[in-house]
Amino acid sequence: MLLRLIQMGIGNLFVLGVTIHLFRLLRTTVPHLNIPIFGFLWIFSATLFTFLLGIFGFLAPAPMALASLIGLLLMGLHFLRNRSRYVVTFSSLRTRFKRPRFTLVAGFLAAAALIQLLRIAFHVWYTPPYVHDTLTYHLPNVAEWVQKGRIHAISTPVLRSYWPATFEVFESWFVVFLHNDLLIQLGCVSCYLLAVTSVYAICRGLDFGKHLSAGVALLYAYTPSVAIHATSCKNDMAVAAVYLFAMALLVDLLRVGNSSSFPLSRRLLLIAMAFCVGVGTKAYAVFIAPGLILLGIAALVKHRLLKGAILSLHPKNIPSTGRFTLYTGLLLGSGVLTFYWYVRNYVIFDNPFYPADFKLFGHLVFGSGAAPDPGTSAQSSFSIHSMWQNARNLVTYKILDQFRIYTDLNRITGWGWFNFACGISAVIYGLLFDKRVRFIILCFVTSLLSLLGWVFVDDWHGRFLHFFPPVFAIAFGALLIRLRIRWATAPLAALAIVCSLFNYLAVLNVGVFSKDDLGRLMALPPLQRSLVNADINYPWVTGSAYGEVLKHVPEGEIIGYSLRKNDVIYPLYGSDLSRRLHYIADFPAGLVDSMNSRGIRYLYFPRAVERFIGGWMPPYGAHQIGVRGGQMATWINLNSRNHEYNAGEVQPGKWTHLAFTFSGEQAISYVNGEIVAALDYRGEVKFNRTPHFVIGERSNFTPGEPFRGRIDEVSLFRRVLAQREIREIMNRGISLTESPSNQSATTPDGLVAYYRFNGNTKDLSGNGHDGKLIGYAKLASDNGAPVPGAKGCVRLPGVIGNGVDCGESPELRIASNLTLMAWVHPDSVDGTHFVAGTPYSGGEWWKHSRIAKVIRDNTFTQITRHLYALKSSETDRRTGDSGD
Amino acid sequence: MRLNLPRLIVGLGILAINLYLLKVYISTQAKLTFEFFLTLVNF
Repeated sequence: MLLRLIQMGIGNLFVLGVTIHLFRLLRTTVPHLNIPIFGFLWIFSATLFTFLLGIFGFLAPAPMALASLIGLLLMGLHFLRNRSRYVVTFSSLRTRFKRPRFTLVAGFLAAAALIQLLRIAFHVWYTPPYVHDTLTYHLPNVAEWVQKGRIHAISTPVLRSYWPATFEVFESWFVVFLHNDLLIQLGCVSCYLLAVTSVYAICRGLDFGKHLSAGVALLYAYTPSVAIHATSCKNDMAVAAVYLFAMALLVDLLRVGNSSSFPLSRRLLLIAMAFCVGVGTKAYAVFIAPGLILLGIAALVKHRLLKGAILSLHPKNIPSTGRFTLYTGLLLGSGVLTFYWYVRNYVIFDNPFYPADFKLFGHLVFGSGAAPDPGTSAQSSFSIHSMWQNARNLVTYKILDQFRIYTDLNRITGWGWFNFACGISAVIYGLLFDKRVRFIILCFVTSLLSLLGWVFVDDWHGRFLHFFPPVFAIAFGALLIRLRIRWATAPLAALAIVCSLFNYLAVLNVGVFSKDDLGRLMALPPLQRSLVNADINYPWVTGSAYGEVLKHVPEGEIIGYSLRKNDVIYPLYGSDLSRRLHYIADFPAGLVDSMNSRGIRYLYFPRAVERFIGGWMPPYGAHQIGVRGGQMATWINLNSRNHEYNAGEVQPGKWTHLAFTFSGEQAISYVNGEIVAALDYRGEVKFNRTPHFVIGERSNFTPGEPFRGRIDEVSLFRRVLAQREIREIMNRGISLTESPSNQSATTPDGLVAYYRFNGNTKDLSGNGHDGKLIGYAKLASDNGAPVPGAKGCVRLPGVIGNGVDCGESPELRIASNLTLMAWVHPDSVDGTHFVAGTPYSGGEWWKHSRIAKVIRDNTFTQITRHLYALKSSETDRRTGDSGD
Repeated sequence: MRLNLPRLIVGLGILAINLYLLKVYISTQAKLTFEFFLTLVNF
């Protein structure tokens, strides 16, 4: 361990040396800009160094320390030769921190910064990475690279792993020396600090005072979504950081124009480097660029520098040959960090944007035209519709913080108390009365709208927006200056402080770890803190289940795995990233051969796959009703063939009654009591092994998009109701008294389940299939369906994974002679929205069910819930010894 | 400083709007914020 710490020290010393060297050549005379410039250059140097060594297979402590040592020696020689110049640099740094005058305000701001940093330090030190996306595709890259000692395209079913990964390279820097993920969150923290100091620089560029600028930067730093992301290991903070860094450079350009101490070429170089790091981190950096371009053009036009800017790019105008080489080198380095991923993907997959498609004006340029996997589909064009829908989501999720924002980053959290209670009015004031701030706001909004229009509609995209909250803090700072009334500014500032305090309390615990989890993690030695010690629920698998797997597989054995394309795999590497994993691609046909040929004895299977083992699963499933493109949609799976059709009219913002009957010979769909389709389908409905009957829940098992709006009066019958009966129920509801004691006496013939949602999710049929609210589905006490006695309904937010789960009782699985009914009030009828029924499963998972055959052939022994061992004498002995 | 009526109105107006928004926020978010805080305090 001591050796590792020494190697880490040498490596960090070298990167710091390179940073100081670059800083000396690229700094300005403006102190507030120098802080983010230094920070950015440090991130850049660490990333490029890690990348260059990683790509040549030297991503290991010894070669990295050796390279650092050689670099340090060369720098030492350089330093001795040019000592005088460095003295000037250091003295300029010293003046910045010269004799800070202590005032009450400065002390308060320093304390505020400190307590936020303490919170962050706590999370870095005690909690492992926990965000779903990082565990599926960001960090497996880091784990594989560090384990194998080189940066390469890993073999994985999680196709998003192939997306640009410059930020993951930076994260590797914090992992490689310790060979442990203890400090991995520092990558995000560095970007967070760059973002916050950049906001400070933006404010100084707008002529705010030092204290006010620091206050504004802290208001941004306290924004819940931003503060939580500081330790999330997600790469969005990096994009926000380089955006705000470029913004700071441009705001300063707007203010002072060109200056000899900070020539335009140097400024443009830094912006280009920042942009490259952004695009190499995540391609959406391009979508948020328009605001910066607008600001840049305005600054150039204001100071008549447009021509100068173009000329400054000419090699002749770069002052000296040494500088020309430096600039070219830095641009090349930045370019490599950006384009490596795209070129690699083009070479391997014939598509630089793999796994997403790339379209231009509707024409497919790269890709298959059907990016099939979760999270990989991209809109690839600008759409006003997306912009509008995403803006609506933004208001709901970020500004109004309607949902469980502070929890497991499912909604990536909101913008919190301050931005809502103080920021909004300040932005409106700024837009109306403050010319200078108005322009900055417009630049931010341009970036925002551009982004919202370029990405498809998904509230999950809220995570792209960390660059935006500074607009509220900056507008608020400007408001405090402009009001110039002490009795008004003091309460406003106090209000901002109170709101920020609430923000702070909300993110003290990132909302994922229970107190037991935290206790367990804190009791462990620092290098052993892994997710396997926390009982966090990920889809299908809990943290401790990974621990079970690791416990049973001897160290040094390879763990074979086969996953769905969006499953969590990272915890299996262990906190020291020493566990070897191998993705078994030829599954299930060549499973055993593939494992034998590689000497793999163990197979990890998440529950997503396991639940179908031994059962027969159709590629689509069961019977469901929904809304699609303004019509009623029906899905029915008969004898393993899926049928789906649309009919009738469903309007947004209006209650509509949907009913579906199936007799075994005919399927009939009704809209508002009228037959809209009658099709001769013969057969029996096929079900998964354990399908749940769900209402409104868009999950991985249901088609289309999540339902947004209200659903009421859902009923399921074990017989085909006549049109007359359907109309009767549609108009009057099912006549039941809601007292449980009377239910059975009045239950209509064949009623299996009935949900009125009058203040609860009880099944009023008396059969006990009570529903359970999932996620953010809420009961509304008013606005029920237009049926007598309907006092409420269930309201669905249009978010994946929300709805009502009515259980998996066999009674709910009706193969023929059934009627399914519901009143719906959709907010939108565009796209496909599931309403009610038993879900289906996509064809992708279907192949996994064939493992059943392998299991039946007595090839595997099941060791834990998710772990299987190939039957062989040696493995049998080991598993027998483990006593499980 | 002399009393400047327009400024007074704007200042009061903004303060009132902010307080109102805070109230709205409290009604929707306060429970959530303190839920987590309390979890931590218990710990």
